[in-house]
Amino acid sequence: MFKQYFKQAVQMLKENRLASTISILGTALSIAMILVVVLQFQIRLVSFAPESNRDRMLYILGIQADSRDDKNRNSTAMSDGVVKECLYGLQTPEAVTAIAVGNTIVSLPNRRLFEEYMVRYTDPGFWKVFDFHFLSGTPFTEADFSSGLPRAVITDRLARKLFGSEEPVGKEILMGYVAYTVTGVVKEPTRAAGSSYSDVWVPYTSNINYVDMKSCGGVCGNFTAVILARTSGDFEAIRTEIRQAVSRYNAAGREFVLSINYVFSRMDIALGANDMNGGILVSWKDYLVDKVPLLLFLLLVPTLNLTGIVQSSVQKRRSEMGLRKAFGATKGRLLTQVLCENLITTLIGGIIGIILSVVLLQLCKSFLLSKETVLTFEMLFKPVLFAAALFFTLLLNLLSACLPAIRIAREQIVDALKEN
Amino acid sequence: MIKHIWTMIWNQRSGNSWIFLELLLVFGVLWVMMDSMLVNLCTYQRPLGFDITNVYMVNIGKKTEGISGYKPDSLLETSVGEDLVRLTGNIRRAPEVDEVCIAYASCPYTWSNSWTTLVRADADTSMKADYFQCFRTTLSYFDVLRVKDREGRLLRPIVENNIGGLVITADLEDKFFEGKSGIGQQVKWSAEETESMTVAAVTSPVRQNEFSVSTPCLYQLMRTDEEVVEMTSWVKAENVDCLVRMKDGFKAEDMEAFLDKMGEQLEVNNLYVSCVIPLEEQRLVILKGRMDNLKRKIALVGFMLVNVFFGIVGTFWLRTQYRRGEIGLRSALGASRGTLKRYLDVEGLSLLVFTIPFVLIFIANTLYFDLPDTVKMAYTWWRFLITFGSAFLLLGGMIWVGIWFPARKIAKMDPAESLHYE
Repeated sequence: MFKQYFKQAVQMLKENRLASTISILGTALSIAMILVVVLQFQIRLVSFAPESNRDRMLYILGIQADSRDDKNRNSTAMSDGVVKECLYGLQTPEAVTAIAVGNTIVSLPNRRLFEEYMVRYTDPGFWKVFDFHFLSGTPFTEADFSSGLPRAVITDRLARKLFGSEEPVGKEILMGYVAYTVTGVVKEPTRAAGSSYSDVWVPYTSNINYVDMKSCGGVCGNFTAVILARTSGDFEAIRTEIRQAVSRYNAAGREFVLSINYVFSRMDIALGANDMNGGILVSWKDYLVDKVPLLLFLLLVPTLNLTGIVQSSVQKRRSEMGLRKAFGATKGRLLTQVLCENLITTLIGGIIGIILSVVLLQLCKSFLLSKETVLTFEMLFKPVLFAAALFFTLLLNLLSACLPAIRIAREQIVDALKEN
Repeated sequence: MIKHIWTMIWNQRSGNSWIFLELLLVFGVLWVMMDSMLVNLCTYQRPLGFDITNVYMVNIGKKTEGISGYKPDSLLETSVGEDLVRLTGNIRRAPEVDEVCIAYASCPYTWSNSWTTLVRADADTSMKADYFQCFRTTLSYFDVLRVKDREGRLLRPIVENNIGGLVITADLEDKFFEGKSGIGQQVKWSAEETESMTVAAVTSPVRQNEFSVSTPCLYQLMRTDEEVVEMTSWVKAENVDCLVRMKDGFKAEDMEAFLDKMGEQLEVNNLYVSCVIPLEEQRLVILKGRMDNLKRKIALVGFMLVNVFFGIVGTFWLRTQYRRGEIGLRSALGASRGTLKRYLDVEGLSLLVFTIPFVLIFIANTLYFDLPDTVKMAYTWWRFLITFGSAFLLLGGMIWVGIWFPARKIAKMDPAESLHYE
């Protein structure tokens, strides 16, 4: 039966080439636009190097520090003290890292340059949480970190810019007049890796501005943290452990009381959780309220197009339907037939749509993501993309073919046959 | 002819309803897009009140203990403020440089800003003081950013000729002095204050960026180097805005060579020039969000137009197919190909015209609930005509192009063959 429908659909596609092309292109464009929205979300959600274990990561983006007299509240990031006392000691996670971001001029000892680069001030845990691909050298070590030695890991792009074709490992770079020794060179990560991307990574202990932070009684600072759990099942245990660590920290009776309101998962971040006011959680509901109108619009406009076309082509076959009905075809059967035949068109459109969406995202990268973001195969072609494509294709098919199909199926045999 | 076509449209209402609904939906949304783009475009085009071409932001760094070349305070004979004045003096003396200024929370296209209360000197304590954005600047600031007065004259000579510690923008003049000239008028920080200050000049309206409207602002002047030094007692030198205007003809790519050439002169005791960023570049960073949004809207408009095109081609193509008989009859009875195409055009455009009443109701509703942006641009008949007209013309154009395909097919038809279907 379905084989028959398939044959018939293909025949119809061939018979009316222009209408078929238009249906397919319309579907493809609509699916592509929807998938671009999906892809933007997907890139925030799925894992890719150097953030290959995003599904096991937890994030602390912001904290609150309230003065004991309740007069003063600071919503900011953590100090190095908080990181040390509350996070480095955690038992459940596999690895923990604290990260502060800054911009610095990077020069050479013999040549002053004036271009600013992004620097992440971090710790050895960083290299356990994220999996960078080292082209040469190694990360800075635990010993470098604890002695606050000026050691730096740089990207291949910066290395080429500073040293040309020479081997950078072991050489010195100047960052704000301090000489750092390059210990390793990594392949430049994509900007889509928001928690790990940088030009330079150094131990935060090597810069006095990031050590012994005094702001609001030593609670406030510039650090965010990423925690790598052994499995995502440990998330709650880790959150509990952090809560316990925070109450221990507050028991010391500092001037300000620390509160870590949220420990976000990757899904929270993809939905738009951020560090404002010590952390804001965006629920699925809020996200959908924001995005569904756009998706609906992207779906509705081509639906109206397709319905018009399906309606016309079904209308042309009224007598055929009437005849089939007269020979005993049920309403449900006719309905399935129209839907199945139409599905062929929408599926072809859906497949073209997937390819088109990647092309569109690449073309419109500068205003959808950022100009510098490099799109990689592993962040684009994930099950999410295909599942979304299938879902929206089926939805589009249902929306566009359902009404004409019901109409034709409900028609009286006599009326349908009249034209013959 | 039109009445005849309308009857036909009505008789084919089941086939037409979908394309009609699509046109209606797209027309409404397209009008919303057009309106917001018009507001953005007009706001964007208005003068900013300053000019950043060839202006660079100079970031100042300060050496700390442990850095080579660091001089401890005990060995220094000058204060940080004096060093800063000397550093900017060094830059000003370079032949490539036009002018340099020092300011605080005053650099356009940055997030840093500062606000203060200000009242007229004759205000009594019962009046609530408003907050205004305040720029603290040296006089050269007006030359660096080419700030002008309402008549378009450069502001700096005016400020130099007049006495007074403040310059206000045109919006603040309007707010405080309602049509009278603000120059020479007295104002004070708050109603409780006893000391008043003189307004030295009034600038043209000033906006923070291309997407915002002008707001009342004031400039607190630092006329002497001593005032700059005094400022650095409460602002870190690293956080001071230092802006430099290069001479006309200087190119951004020459900056690195220029800085290299300056060498030692970019260092005074512990202060040094850490990096120089063209304001044009900084502008793009700050405007990125708004620009991206605009581009997304344009992409969406493109999507809608392509869909309308597809819809019209599809609907009319299929229609010409099963109306071959009718069309054959018409051409047999003497209708030329042009007439037949006109029939289709009128049919398509009529569909669009029928959406107008519904779209007008929609527009009236959005206006009633004040949804269009009326802060940046008042809602006038002009605005309505431009946005409504352009949305209509775009859709009309798309319909016309879409009908061209089926019409070409008709042109190829042989009347005898078409009649065969009748």
